[in-house]
Amino acid sequence: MKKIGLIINPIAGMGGSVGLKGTDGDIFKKAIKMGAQPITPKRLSELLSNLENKEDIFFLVAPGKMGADIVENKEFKFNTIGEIGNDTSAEDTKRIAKMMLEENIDLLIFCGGDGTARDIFDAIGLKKPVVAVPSGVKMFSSVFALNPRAAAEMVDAFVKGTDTQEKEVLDINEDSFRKGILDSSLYGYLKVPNVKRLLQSGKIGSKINKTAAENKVEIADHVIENMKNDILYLLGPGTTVKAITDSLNLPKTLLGIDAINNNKRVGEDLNEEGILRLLDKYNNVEIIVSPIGGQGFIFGRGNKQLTPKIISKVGKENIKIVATADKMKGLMCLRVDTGDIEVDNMLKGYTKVIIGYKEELITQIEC
Amino acid sequence: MRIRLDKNEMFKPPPKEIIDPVKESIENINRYTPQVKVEELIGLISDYTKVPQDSIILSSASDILIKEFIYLFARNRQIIIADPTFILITNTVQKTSSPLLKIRLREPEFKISLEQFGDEISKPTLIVFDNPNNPTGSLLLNKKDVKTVLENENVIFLIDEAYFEFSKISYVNFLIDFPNLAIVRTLSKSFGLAGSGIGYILCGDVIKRKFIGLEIMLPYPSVVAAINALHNLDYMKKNIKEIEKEKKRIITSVSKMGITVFPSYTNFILMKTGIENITQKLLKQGIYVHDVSEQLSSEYIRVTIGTEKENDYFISYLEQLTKS
Repeated sequence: MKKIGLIINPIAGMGGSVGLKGTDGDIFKKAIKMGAQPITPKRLSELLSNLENKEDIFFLVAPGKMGADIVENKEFKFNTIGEIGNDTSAEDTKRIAKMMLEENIDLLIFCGGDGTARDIFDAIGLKKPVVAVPSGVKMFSSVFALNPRAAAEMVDAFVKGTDTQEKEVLDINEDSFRKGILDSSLYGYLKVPNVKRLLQSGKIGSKINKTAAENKVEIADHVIENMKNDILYLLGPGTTVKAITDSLNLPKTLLGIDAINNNKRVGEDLNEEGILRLLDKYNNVEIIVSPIGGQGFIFGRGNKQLTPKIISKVGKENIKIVATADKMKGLMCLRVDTGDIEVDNMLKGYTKVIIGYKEELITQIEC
Repeated sequence: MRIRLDKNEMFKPPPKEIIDPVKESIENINRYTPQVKVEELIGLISDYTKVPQDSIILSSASDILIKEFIYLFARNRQIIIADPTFILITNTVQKTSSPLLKIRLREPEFKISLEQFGDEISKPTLIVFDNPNNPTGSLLLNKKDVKTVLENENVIFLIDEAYFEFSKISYVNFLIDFPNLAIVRTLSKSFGLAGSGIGYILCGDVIKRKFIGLEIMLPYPSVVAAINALHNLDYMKKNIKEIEKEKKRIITSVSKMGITVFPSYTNFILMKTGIENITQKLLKQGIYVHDVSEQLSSEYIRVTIGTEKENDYFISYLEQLTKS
């Protein structure tokens, strides 16, 4: 029997139908005035009706409209946890998620958008795996399942005993988003169940993939083997890049830009100004980045500190891209959105991505 | 009901003209395969491919030849392959210590152009491409690019033409001018001899010399099956016609469901269904299709053309899944 926490953000997604691009802050009140209807109950119901292992689940559910109202009408074993008022907020999500953590849940299901994902990350971090049901207006974080049915499959896979993998939570600036500007940064990581692939008895079995963690170590080995002492390396955010500094026994700002030279960290959580100062000091510079988010952006999502000016100065030939084979499998191409169309065009074309030790993939960068 | 549409096999056994002699050959199973029979088979392959006998290397199954080829030529070379490609190629190159460069194929064409890797072949390189490609069913290459690559003496080029009889596109004519080219084929697909497992490489003398010492014993029933298959090419041509007819029918039905079907020059079809973990869902109904989630994603499937009845069953259940 698995103890599974369940929280829904009842106002998530309501801004979408009335064109408000999100419900962060007080915007949701405006959405209600404009006639927006709750969408998360329907999304949660869809997930629940597609679960196959109902007998093996005990739900610990947030009260009222944050979960219990929907679960009550279904045939599930459950208890409610926590209290809420008439209006719910991010604080409710965080508080109840923490209470569920204290009750030692095995998995947490949540319905919402990027904002809810950030709240869940704040509350539980990587301590427990989650299944994220997409119900928001903004869902740029790769932590989300494709749809409620796919989320149900993830829950079933978890109940049957699958492993987990880390996925990104992005922070999208909602004010900018309303103005048509996608301003994002990498906020953190959550663990999600890895839906097991069928292993067929075939003439030649599929190669069982190495784990993402093993793959990252291989990538780090390859990068380190090719590092030179006279080069300054600007390291972008993310766990794939962090694996490089981990192998070098150096600290790394997970969500920011650090610089290393000759096996020493010479810059920490740098902004544009800090990076430009280093560029004046070092003649040879390389940028090492990994695609962020589900769409494969290597610049413009989560690493805005690497501005068009910096990218132009370093040059396309000095940009190294690293990504796990599993991540690249889902990406038909890479993308850039630096904010400067000329720089985007300069980056366009075929490029190599380091996907393992002595293993590279030729793929295309599109704008 | 249990149907197997996952291994790109021919859906029916070969005719009596092939089966009967194979049955008879079992009587002599206590003996090694007579050399005269092996030579007869090489002669028939030579007639079939229009390649001289001394340019043919025989083996039990083309898989062994592909593996041996990669191990023989990987040393001190980087390797270039397509991504995705025949899984045996990927698994084998990853066991070598050579630097590996994969070229991502993009839908819907799933093609490779010289522009993608032309700059990479200035150093010693082994290229292994399957043409048509498995699992996409596409023709990866164009003749102009292949010629340009082969003119580069740094390159050793192996082309897997397992599905040549379906695509009717071959690079055999290039063997005369390019000693750095080898082509591997099989009788497992259009000839319907998967269980017999005879494969061959066509190549020039320089490559063939590397194979000296690799004497692979060919099972006598397999040799007899291959000899009789090559004496009866009409059945193979009939097989292809039947597959093409069924392929067309499946494509028409499946396309109507809103599923993306990619052009295929083989006896299988790659489909993008929009349904996650589709392989497992079909399996619940006893339908085995090839799981390509490791190479593409879990919404894609590679489906072998089966019998009319099998294909109907597959189509009807797939339709149910798209509606649910």
